[in-house]
Order: sequence, then C-alpha cells, then structure tokens
Amino acid sequence: MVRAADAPQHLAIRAGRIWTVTDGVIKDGVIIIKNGKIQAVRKKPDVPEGMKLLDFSDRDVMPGLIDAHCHIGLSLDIYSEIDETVLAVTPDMQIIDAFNPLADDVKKALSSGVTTVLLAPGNKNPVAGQTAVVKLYGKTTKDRVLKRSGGVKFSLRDDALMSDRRPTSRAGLLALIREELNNAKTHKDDKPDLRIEVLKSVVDANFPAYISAYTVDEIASALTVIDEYGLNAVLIGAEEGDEIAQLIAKQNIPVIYSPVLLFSRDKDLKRVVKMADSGIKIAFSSKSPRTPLSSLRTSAITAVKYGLDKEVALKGLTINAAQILGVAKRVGSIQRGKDADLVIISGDPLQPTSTVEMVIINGNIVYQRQKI
Amino acid sequence: MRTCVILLSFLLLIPALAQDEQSEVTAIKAGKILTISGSPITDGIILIKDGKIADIGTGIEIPENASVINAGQKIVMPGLVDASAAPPVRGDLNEEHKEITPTVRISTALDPQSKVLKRIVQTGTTTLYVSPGLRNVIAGLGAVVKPTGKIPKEMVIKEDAALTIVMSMDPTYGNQTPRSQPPRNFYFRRPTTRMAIIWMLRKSFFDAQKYAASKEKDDPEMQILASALDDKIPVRLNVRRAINIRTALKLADEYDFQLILDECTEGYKVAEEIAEKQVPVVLGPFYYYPGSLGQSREGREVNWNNAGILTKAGAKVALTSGAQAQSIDLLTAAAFAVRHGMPRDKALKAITATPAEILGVADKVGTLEKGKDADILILSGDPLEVTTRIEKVILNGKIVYKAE
Amino acid sequence: MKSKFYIALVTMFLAASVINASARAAPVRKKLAIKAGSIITITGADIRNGTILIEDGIIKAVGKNVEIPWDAFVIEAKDRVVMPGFVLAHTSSGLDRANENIPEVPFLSTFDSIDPVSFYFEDSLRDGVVAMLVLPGNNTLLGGTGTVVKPHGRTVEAMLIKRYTGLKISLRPAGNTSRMGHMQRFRRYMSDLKDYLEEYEQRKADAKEEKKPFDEEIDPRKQAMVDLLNIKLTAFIYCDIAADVPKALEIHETYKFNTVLVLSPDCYKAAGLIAQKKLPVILPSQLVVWETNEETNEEEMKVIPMIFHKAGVKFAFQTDTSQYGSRYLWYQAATAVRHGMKRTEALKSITLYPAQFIGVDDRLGSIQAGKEATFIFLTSDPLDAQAWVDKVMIAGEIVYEKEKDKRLKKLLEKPEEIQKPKDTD
Repeated sequence: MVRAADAPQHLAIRAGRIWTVTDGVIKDGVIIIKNGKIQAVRKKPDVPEGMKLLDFSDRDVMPGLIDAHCHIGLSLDIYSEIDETVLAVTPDMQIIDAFNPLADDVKKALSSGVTTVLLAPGNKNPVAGQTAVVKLYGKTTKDRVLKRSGGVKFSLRDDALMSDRRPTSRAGLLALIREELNNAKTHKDDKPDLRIEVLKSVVDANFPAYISAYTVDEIASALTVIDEYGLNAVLIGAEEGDEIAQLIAKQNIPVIYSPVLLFSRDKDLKRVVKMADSGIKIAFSSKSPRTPLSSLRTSAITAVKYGLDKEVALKGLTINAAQILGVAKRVGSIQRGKDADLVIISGDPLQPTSTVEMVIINGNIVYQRQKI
Repeated sequence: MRTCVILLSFLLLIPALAQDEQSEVTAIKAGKILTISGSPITDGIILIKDGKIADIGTGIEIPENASVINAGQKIVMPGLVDASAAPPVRGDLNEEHKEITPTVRISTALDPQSKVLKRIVQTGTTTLYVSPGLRNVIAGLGAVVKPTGKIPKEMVIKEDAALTIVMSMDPTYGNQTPRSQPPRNFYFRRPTTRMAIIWMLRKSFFDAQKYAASKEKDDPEMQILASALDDKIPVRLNVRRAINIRTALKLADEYDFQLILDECTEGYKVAEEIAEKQVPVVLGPFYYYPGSLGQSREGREVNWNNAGILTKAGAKVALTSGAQAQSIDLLTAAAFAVRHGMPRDKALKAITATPAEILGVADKVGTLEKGKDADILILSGDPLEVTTRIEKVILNGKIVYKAE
Repeated sequence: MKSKFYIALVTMFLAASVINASARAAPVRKKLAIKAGSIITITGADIRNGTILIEDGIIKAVGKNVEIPWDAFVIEAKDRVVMPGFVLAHTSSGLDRANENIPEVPFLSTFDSIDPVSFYFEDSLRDGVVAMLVLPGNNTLLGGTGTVVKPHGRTVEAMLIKRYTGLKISLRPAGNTSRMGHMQRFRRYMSDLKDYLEEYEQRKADAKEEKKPFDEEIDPRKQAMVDLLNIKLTAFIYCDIAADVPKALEIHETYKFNTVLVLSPDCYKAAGLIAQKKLPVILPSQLVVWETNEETNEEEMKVIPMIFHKAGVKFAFQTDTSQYGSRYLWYQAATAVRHGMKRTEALKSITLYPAQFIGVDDRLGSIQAGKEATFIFLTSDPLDAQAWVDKVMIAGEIVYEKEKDKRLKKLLEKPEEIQKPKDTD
C-alpha cells in the first residue's frame, strides 16, 4: 500500500470509462483534480500540460463507495463499543467519540473501494445515540469528518429488549419511545437538558431519525411513529420492507438496506428489488463487522442478479447513500466541485470479476493494488 | 344533432358502466343458519356486500352477478369471538421493569406474520382479544383484533378495549425480597404476597382519583387509570380463587369501575354474587389435573361445570381457548362446557355474541345480522360435536380458509 | 345327644350361609341378558334394540332376536349404547416411576410398579377403558416387560389381565448419549446376548454328549430378551423422531422380533416406510401438528391419523391425561373421523386393534360370542361429545356406575356448602 501523506493533490486521471453516476458513463475521458476536489470532468482524453497523470485508459473509474451503515474503527473490542446499554435512552452519546481512524480494520478497509461511511451505534438501545459520517482517510479532522453528528439512531429490534433494564417487551419498547418523544415535545426550556434537546430537534424534524426495523411489524410500527410525530426519518435494515413497500414509498422514507449477501432464500434475495421497483430510495450497507466492507459491492451485484436495475444498484452504492446521509454536496458522484474520492476498478463496477486497483480520497492515493 | 344523441347515450351508459364496477355481492345458501341473535333459519340465504352482511333470511333475491356459495345442508354460524386467545404478538407479553405499567399497549407489539394466526383462523376464530401478560399488577391495555391485515394497525378493530389488572399470584413470581444482600436487579421489589398486590392496586386507584380531581393533564399513566375509574375503559381483572373474586367485586363497588372477571377458576363458588352484580365473566380454559380433584397452583379447586353453574345462576359467561398456542380450540371448549352441564344455546352464545358484548364490539361481530361484519363459518355438522369439521371460514366477506 | 349334633350342624350351615352372604354384597349372576337400544359389536353391523346373552362372564350370544333364558337376570338398557370397553395399547401412567436410571433393564416388570390407587386408573375406568398395557417409559433403552391390567381392583393381582406382555425398547438416547452411542449400546447388548446363548448351548450340548444332567437355567436377567428373540414376547419399539423409524425397522429385520411401533408426532414423516413393512403402530397422543414450511415460512397442519390411514397402516390411539380432549380415547377417534377417517375404522382403533396388538383380542375388543362380557354403557353414540360412560361391566360384573361416582359429582355439581365470609377485604 502506498502511504498518501505527501502525494500531490493536483492530478489528472484518464480512464477508459468514467461512471459519473449523475451524468452517465463517459468513455475515454479525463478527471482533473485540484486541491483534493474535482475541478473538471472532461469528455476528451486530453490532459493539461504539466499535470501528473494517472493513465487508466484501459480501466474504469467510479465514485468512492459509500457504506450507509457500519461499525468500523470503533475501537478494540468491536461489539462492546457500539452499545451503551446501562441506560435505555442515550440520545446524547455520539459515536464519533468511539471512532479510531488509525484502527487496523479502517486501514484494511481502504482496499474495498469504500471511501465514506455512516458510523452508528448498535441496536441494543431503543434510543441509541448520534450517528456520524466519516471518510476512511483524512489528513485532518476537517478532511475526515463529514458530519460529526448526523442524526439519532433508534432501534425497534428485539436486541433492544433486555431482561434487567427497561424495556423487557416489545409493547414496552414502543411505550418508551413514545414517552421520550412526548417528553421532548412538551419540555419547557427553563430546565436545560442535553438529552431532551437532542430529542426535541428530532421531534421538530430538524435532526434525522435513523430507525432500525427489519420485520414487517417493526417497520409498520416505525412508520406509525414517524407519521405520528412528523419525523424526518430513514429506515435501517427494512429487510421485509417489500411486503409493505407501498406504505414506505407513500411516506417517502428512504431505506438503508441490510447486506443482501446475508440472505440465502430466493424469496429474501428478491425483496430489495421489489422495494426499489416501488420507488423507494435504497442505499446499501455492510453492517461491518457483520459483513466486511469489501463485500459492499457484492451486495449490489447480488441484487442485480436477482433483478435490480443496474443503474439503481450503482446509485445505491454512491449517490443515494450520499443524499440520504446529507453529504451529497461533497461525495457520491463524479461531478465538478465534489471531493476527489475515486475508485479505479478493473472493469464494470457491477461485475464480480472486477477488482479494485486504486482508491483515492480527497485526491490522495490511499490504496494501490500490488501486482504479483 | 346526431352527435348530441351519441353524447347523450354515452352519458346514460356511464352510470350503467359504473354499476358493473360496483363491489361484488356474495350469497351463501345454507340448510341451517344459526344467527345466535334469534332462532335458526332453515334453508336461508345470506347476502354479503363490502365485507358486511347486506341481508339475511329466507326467500331473499340473489342478484344476477353474485357469486354463490352453496353450503347445501351444512350449518352456518357466526365467526367465533375469542375473549382470550393465543396472542399474535412477538416476544414477551410482559413489560417487567416495574409492576404498574398502564401505558403499555399490547397492540403495538402485534405481529401480522405471527404463526398462530393461521391456526386461529382455521379453528374458526375471526375476532380475538389480545392482552398484555399476567406478570404485572397493572399490565397495560389490550385490544380487539381480527386475524387479517398486513400491518398491526389493520388488525385492530378496537384499541384500548380493556385495562388488564392481575390479582392472581402471577405478579409475585420472580420477585424477591432483598434481605442481607443489596438488590441486584429490578425484581427485588413488591409484590411478593397477595397483601402487597391489593395494596398496590388500592394505591394506584387512590392516586388516580387524586389525579383526576386535580385536573392535571400530563401524566399518561395516571390518565389511563383515571379513564378506567371513569368507566371509559373497562377493567379486566384476572382472578382465580373465590376470595380474590369477592375482593374484585368489592373493589369494583368501592372505586366504581366497570369490572370484567378474567379466568375466574372458582367462579362457581361465587356464582350468585357475580350474577347479582351483573359482572361478566371471561372463563379461562379448563384444565384437567391428575387426581380428578382439580387441585392446583394457588390452591384453587376446579369444578368442571364452572361455566354451567355460573350460567344457571344468571351470570354472563364467555368461553375462551386460553392464551397458550397449543390450547384447545373454541368449538371444542364449548362442546366440553355443554358436556359438563352448560346449556347448549348459552354455550354457543359464549363463543360468539357474549364475548362480542364483553369486548365492546357487538355492533360489528358476534351474530349474523344485517349490517354486521360478514364473519361466517360453514360447518359439516353440529358445531358442538368433535366430529364436525370447519369447511370454510369467511372473514370480512372473503373466504380465508377452505378445508381440503 | 343326636339332637345336639343336628343343632350344631344346622348352626354351622346357617353360619356358613351368613358368612357366604356377607362376603359378597352383590351376587354375581350366572346368566345375564342385556337389552340395549344400540349395540356396537365392532366386527359386524350395529344392532338396534338387540340383546346380549352372558353366561359366567362370557358372551353366549348377541343379536336382534335372541331368546332370553328364563333364569337370566335382565339388564334394561333401552336408552343406552353398548359397545366393547376401550383398550389402550400403550401407557406408562399409573406407575411409581416410568423410567429406570440404567439403560438396560429388560428384566424389570411393570407388574412390580403399578400403583392400584393411582388416580390414573380411577379416571380410566370412568372414561370407559377396560384394559391397558402398562409398559415402561420412553427414556430407557431396554425398559422391561409390560402388564395388561384392568383399571379395577385393590391389588395388582386383582387388576391383572395378562402378565409378561411386551418388552419396551426406546430409541430415544438416554441421558447425554448421542443417537450413535445409543444404537451401539443396543447392538453390543444383543451381541453379548448372542455370545452368551452360544456358550450356553455349547455347555448344554457338551453335557448331553457326556451324558451328564444339565439343569443350568438361562440367566434370569437375560430371560426376557431371550423370549423376545424366540418370539414369546412382542417388542414395543418407541421412535422419538422420524429418523428412528428406519432404525426400528432394521432391528425388526435383523432379529425378526414380533414388533409394534410406538410413535412420536414427528414420525408421521415415515408413514410410507412403515406401510411397506405392514407393522402395527401406536399413534402419539398429539394427533394434529403444525409445522413451518421452510420455503414459504407458512404453517401447515398435519393430521397424523389421516396420514397413516391413507398409507394403509393399522393403528391404535394413545391418550394424554394432562390434555383437555386427548385424554379420552373417544375424542381421539372423533378427531380422526372429523378429518375424514371412516367411523368403523376409527372405532376399531380404540377397541379391536389395540386388543390385537397386545394379544388380548381373544377376549376383548369386540362383542362376539366367546369373548368376555366386558362392555361400556354409553348415554349416546361414542363419538358424541355429550356421551358419558354410564356403566362399565367387566366379565359380567358391573364395576362402575356414574350415578354412584362421588368424585365426578363433586366435579360437576355446585358444592353444597360454600363458605361465605361476612365481609371480605
């Protein structure tokens, strides 16, 4: 691997195909990068004089992949760091405080092609804490952290039920969430309380709610709560969402889908396709360490195999995630003005035989495949 | 001129076209229809439209485009109403972190994909009551649901149908007294005795009365208790022994709430008082105990003819299948109730009209009458025979089960 | 002096007759005639308004127009249905403990463990069961031999119908053993047994050659298994899961036992296999199972008696005393009829077939001349949910009457005295 510390941030990349995602595929084009940003995307292979050129005329370039939900870099013992379960309601916890950018798994993940991730707390608290959006590389915090605090994670999963603290039952879980949201709504400002402040901004729809719900009844409960309180919400997981896809689409709720490659039955593998066909905006996630970041693309490829439109799949790996996470101004497509987060890949991104050859973040080469 | 004629005829056609697109009508022809609300109808017809009974009786004209179900000499009766059924809920029914949890609504935990739903439908139940579990003194709010719908909301036909309160010993199970050790978890708490259960109940009612008088509005738990004391939500009190039944009747008088007795194993010992106070009884399923004497937990004494004795005394009795997934079905429960001494017509009512009344949904279900939901069973014979098979189950006008 | 002698003789006679009279409260009639509204013979057509003639506890004749001898005691049962008492081909209730801790105990017998006072027998008689084969439980590999008893009698001897009936083999692994270990245990036992028998025969042959007397007996601990090999006992093999059925069939094929299979609900999956071997089967008490179809994730209902019936397997029902409906044999039969089984076949499965499986069909299981006068008098059709057992007759003697059943009265009637407190808290 090439350490990117002193690499130049002005360069040109010539590519056989540029998958811009937003403006189609450009054949034999050139991307001009200056100061870590995409200055231009040219349809002609000519390169300005004096610029360092990376010639990938026989390769494809796509935007850095975005993993819309994972737990990478969250310290030594992965699982213990993502759930603060002593209290059931911890909206003031911020996952960014647990993130270690120099962690081994972050370094190893650079070869996956994923450049931006949503970090989130786990599913063991009904109100788990605040999410963050980070890049897998950045010289400074400003480069690396796109959103210190992206939204509040809620969990409607059975994992949030415990035998030694509230809630112990599903009905109790929903009663708790409603109780907390009601308290935030009716709270009077004279007594400042950080926890309530955070929830108040969720209830006011200023701060997104990321709600973990997999089964039909969990998703239905989530939709009811979202409607009841007028939340700005995103569904995480939504594995059985195809069964009530119309309802999700009607409420315009985007979905960060569970890793498709965790499923084995035909019936399950087709669900994400049905949801996309109903008009729901879908982004893929790895849920790492449940599945490795390197398999994010595999989830999309599997979905395509079971009928997902290729363009939709590509969007699911890039721009959809960026829009859902609220960072579309900086990442998610190859467009002038966006960060130079790029992946050079040996072929069509949605072909399983294509391999990641090089990864660039903010114009720095962070990964280059060794030739054996 | 010609265009006018053509246009006019078009305009006339439109309503006719619209007629064809109106909802379809289904007609059921059967040798015997048990309406439950009145005498059986011989060679009768039921017309179903938009999921409701449009008409019922003899000599009814069947519209041309109606789809006809000819049940021949089979017997037709209303879909069964189970006032205590295996709940189509995921996970634990009890919110155990404290004993008084009035805001817990079991309807929020409904699972439309629950495996028990198929069984419920195939055994003829078309309406059921779902309750929180019995581990808390004040367990929360139950709902009346139908076994249909893609999402929980679609299943519910009556939200907040009753407040579940438990006076049996179940809330004491698992609780411990902190003695020499400091409490390790939230189970080190009251109640561990009957005394404490009743104390907690009285305290809650007392606080609720104070709250109601104070005109405060912001305590959701007190709000629900105050509604119960105000007769807005009936109280379903789980009791087994005669002493608890008597205490329940007394509390209902004292605090003036609408009481429904749940399970009521020793109800036969208090039959007159129950009938006198006109308190409805939702009987728990009837368990055999080895030894034929019927002794069991809590020292309750079982009488096989509990339903019959209560009915004879004049009490309103509903039979149930019980909240266990493997329990007996409603029709068999009724057959055995009759075997042990309950009058036939009361037993049939006890699984249809009576529970519908007790659950507050008698305007929709429980009998075959014009205007009610088209929840209908077609049986191969007498509903109270074990050899009878359920041939078809119709729910909201649609066939949801057909025997092979 | 002569008169004193005569007085003594007369006194002795009187004393004897008094003693005789007090010894039997109800005289056992030599000849009986039952006039019944309906007689279900099981082997023939039902008879309306027929008569059963009984002599010395044995059925002499049964028919519509049977002539009643002048000295027969007539029992009027015009409003009753008379049929053979129910037979239960397999139960482990009524025992002190159903299972032994050691896996190989074929020398044990349930005769030594039956508790006549157990409520199980009182309930069974009340419910119309007149004979049951009590076998060891399902947790012992070679559990021991069974006993056929009637649920009436103060002692096991008084209850006895047939001793030494059936040897229970269970394929459920005991304790922490795996299935593998369990089967190996069985094979090793049989292998050791084979060696023992060979050596025994060798010693016998040697003694014969040497013209020496041979009075060595088979080790009593092994006698039961030897009888099993020599088809003097029937093997009742319990299969815990469907995968045990091929193992049971293998045992049957290898050792040529006379075999009856005792099944768990899961074993319905092996119905076809069992049908091929034409082995008799005792169904589990749970007749309806719900299983999740892996592909559709939907629940499917399986009706066990119908699966076996359609496969052509002859079976008998079992009961579960803790369950509402399935504690009654009539309920099991009625459930089968509900799902499509023919009534006559279902009734056979609670009378004749179980009697055949346990080898008492020479005297029980149907109403035919020559069999025992053991019947139940029902208030209506046996499959009717409202039918009660009004009387039970065993070998010509009425041993149960519902009218006199105090315990049942207590369970069905309102208690006469209910304590009513003045006030309650």
